[in-house]
Amino acid sequence: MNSVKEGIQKKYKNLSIQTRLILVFLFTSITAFTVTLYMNWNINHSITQIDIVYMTNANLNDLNDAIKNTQNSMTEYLNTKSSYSLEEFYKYEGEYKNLIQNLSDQTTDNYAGLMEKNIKNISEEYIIVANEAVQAKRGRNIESYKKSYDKTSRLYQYIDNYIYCLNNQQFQKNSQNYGILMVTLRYLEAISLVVYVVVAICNIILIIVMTNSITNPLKKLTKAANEVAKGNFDIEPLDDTTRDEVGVVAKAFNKMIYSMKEYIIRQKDSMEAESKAKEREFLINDLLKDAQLKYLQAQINPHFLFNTLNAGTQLAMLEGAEKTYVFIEKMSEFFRYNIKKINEDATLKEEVELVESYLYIMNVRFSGEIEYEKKINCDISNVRVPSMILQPIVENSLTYGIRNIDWDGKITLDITLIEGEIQIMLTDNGVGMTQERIQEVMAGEVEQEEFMRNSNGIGLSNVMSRLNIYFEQESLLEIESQGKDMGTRVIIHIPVTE
Amino acid sequence: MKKKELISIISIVSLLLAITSTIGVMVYYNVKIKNISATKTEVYTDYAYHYAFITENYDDPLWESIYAGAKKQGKEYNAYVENFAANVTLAYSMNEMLEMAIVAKVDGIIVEGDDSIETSSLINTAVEQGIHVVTVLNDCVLSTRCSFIGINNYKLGKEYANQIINYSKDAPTKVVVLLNASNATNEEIMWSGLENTISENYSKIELHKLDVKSEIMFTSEEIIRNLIKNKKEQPDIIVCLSLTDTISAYQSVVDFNKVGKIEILGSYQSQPVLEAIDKNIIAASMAIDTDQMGRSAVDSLFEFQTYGRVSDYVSVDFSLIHKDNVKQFMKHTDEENKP
Repeated sequence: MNSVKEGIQKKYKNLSIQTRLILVFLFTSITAFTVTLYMNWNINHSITQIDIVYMTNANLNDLNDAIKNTQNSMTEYLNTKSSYSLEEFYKYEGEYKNLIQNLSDQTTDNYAGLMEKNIKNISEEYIIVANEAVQAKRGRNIESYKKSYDKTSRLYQYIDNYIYCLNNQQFQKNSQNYGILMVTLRYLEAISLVVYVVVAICNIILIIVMTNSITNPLKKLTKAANEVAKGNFDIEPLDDTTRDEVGVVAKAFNKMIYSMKEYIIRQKDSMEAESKAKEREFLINDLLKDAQLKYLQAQINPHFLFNTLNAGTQLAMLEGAEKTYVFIEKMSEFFRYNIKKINEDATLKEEVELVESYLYIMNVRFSGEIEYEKKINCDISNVRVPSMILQPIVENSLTYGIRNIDWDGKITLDITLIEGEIQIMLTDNGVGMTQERIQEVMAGEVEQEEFMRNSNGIGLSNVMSRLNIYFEQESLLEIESQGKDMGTRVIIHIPVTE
Repeated sequence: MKKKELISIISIVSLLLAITSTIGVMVYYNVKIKNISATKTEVYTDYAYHYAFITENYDDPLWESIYAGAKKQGKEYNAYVENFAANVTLAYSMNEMLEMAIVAKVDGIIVEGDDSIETSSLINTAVEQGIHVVTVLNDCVLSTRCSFIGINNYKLGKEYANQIINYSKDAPTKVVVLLNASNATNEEIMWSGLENTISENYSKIELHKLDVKSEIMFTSEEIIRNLIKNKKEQPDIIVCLSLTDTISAYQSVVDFNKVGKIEILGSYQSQPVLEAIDKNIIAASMAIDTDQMGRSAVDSLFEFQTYGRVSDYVSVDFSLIHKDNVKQFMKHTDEENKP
């Protein structure tokens, strides 16, 4: 049962809207048509029945007319013996003969049937006697035709009465039938009305169901489209099992939603992959730096150096080697500063002292070739700066500027207070820098390779960054050079806060 | 989903409802119409033979009863007995109806006979044309009819005489016999039976004849009324030989307050007569077995038609209805009157 129902539903769903509409229209039309046909058939049936009875009445009237004419023409012939009336007589007599042939001669308890039989038999006798009368008239047998005429008159009267009775009876019957027909028609009227109303209600329900089946999927489609417009792609897929027009649209819609979802997922995946790649890159850089730092730390191992150097000063003092003692102590100070200050800020004075220690050490190392000049025009004991900012610059000057020159190297340190800032100027008379080189250094592009090669210090860009971070200002460090062999000047601007 | 199911259920139910109600209404309509039509469609039967039943007084209960018996018996022989007078609107005379039956070529005729030559000649014509004729109640002695179905009139006279003797109680009694039959012979035979019985032994009983038959309609009732009204001629016992006279006499006796003073000996039975007997207004009534009469007529016709001969005279029983047995007859007629 269920499977049959489902089968029908499936078949119905597979029909196009047009076909469905046509089906509904056909069904309702055929129902109405059948009802009308049936009602009409009933009316016709009733009317036909009545017609049959009226026909018998009409036939009886014909019969009556025929015998009347026969009797009249016979009487006229007996009166006048005219050939015209004789012709008439034979004509009507023939007609009458034909008519009585149609009458039944069966004995029955049906009144009409019995009457017909009597009429037929009496009529046959009548025709015989009438012919006898006419023959007698021709033979001028007066007595005979008089007698025959009397008999025909009697018989005519009997027949007339029979026909009258029969007519009367039929009329009564017809009245009855007419009554029945009227009742029938009244019933038909009421029943037609009922049937039409029922069919109309049924049709309305069918149409409502039908239109619902068309509009409901459209409503769902609209709802789904609105949801999608709001950005919600996680809607249930529409029912696209029907094969009608709406089904096709629903299928396309579902496909569209699916494609959009797919596209969004792909987009998301590719973006995620990209950000992951970047993250990894960052991580690698970080790790590299970490590794470099550890490497440097391991190389410097300042505590060990410091302790060793302290031991060296004591040894130098015991041996009375004063120069060695000073040298080692300077070195010791340098490293102590390094250890102590690497993670803190320092005063500018301490920085300057570190530069001096460094230069002493370097002069010992390079046999006093580097001339150092210091011009300080302000109090620098209270100016706080990030530690290790001057030493790397001096180291850079020694390493790149002065080391390979033919003339005596000179480094000048100028500290002046100008317009609310302390300007530190470190000038060397080394090989100088091209503008391109300055740009590269300022951009920090040479940092890595230099850093790898030069094991001893902190890069210029590192200094720049720390200055920027410490003072929360940009461009605190400048590099100037007049060109090849014209020396290099590094200027640091320290903002003074009251 | 639930809503959808509901909609489909509603639609299916409404469709079924529409279809069943349409069919139901149509069936109802057909049944209704058939019920109406049933009253008019009668089942007709065809018969092999056609007998004509001819009497002028077809609506007389007596003749109605005889006709009913004949019609019933006809069915046994596949013959339809037509009540000729009842089927036409004009009041034809018996002879006219005889002629009609002859020209209508019926297979047999049952007719109330009379003594006229005309009737005899018509019966003879019928017989010549091969139509068998049976006379009932009254004979047509001169004709060539095949059989007569009647009562023994002499015996009837004797029975009336016995009743008169019974009611006279040896006192001087005046008896008036009302003669009204179309067939004088029967009455004469009856009279002789009556007279012979009484004159033999009872000189105190005075017998009178009174012919109430007249060519003018309704006169018999007037004659009876005068007879009862007139104190000088007032009889003690009235003998009525027809049903009409019996009823007329009974009505007059009631109207003139003569109940108990004039005894009525009637003829035949009908509901008013039976009721009057029950109320002691009519002393007694001679009842013939009408049903048997009708049956015997058809029996004779068919017998003659089949074997070419039949008994010339068939006697039908008669019985006396009086106070003691009237209930029985009333019951009997009740049953007969039932449709």
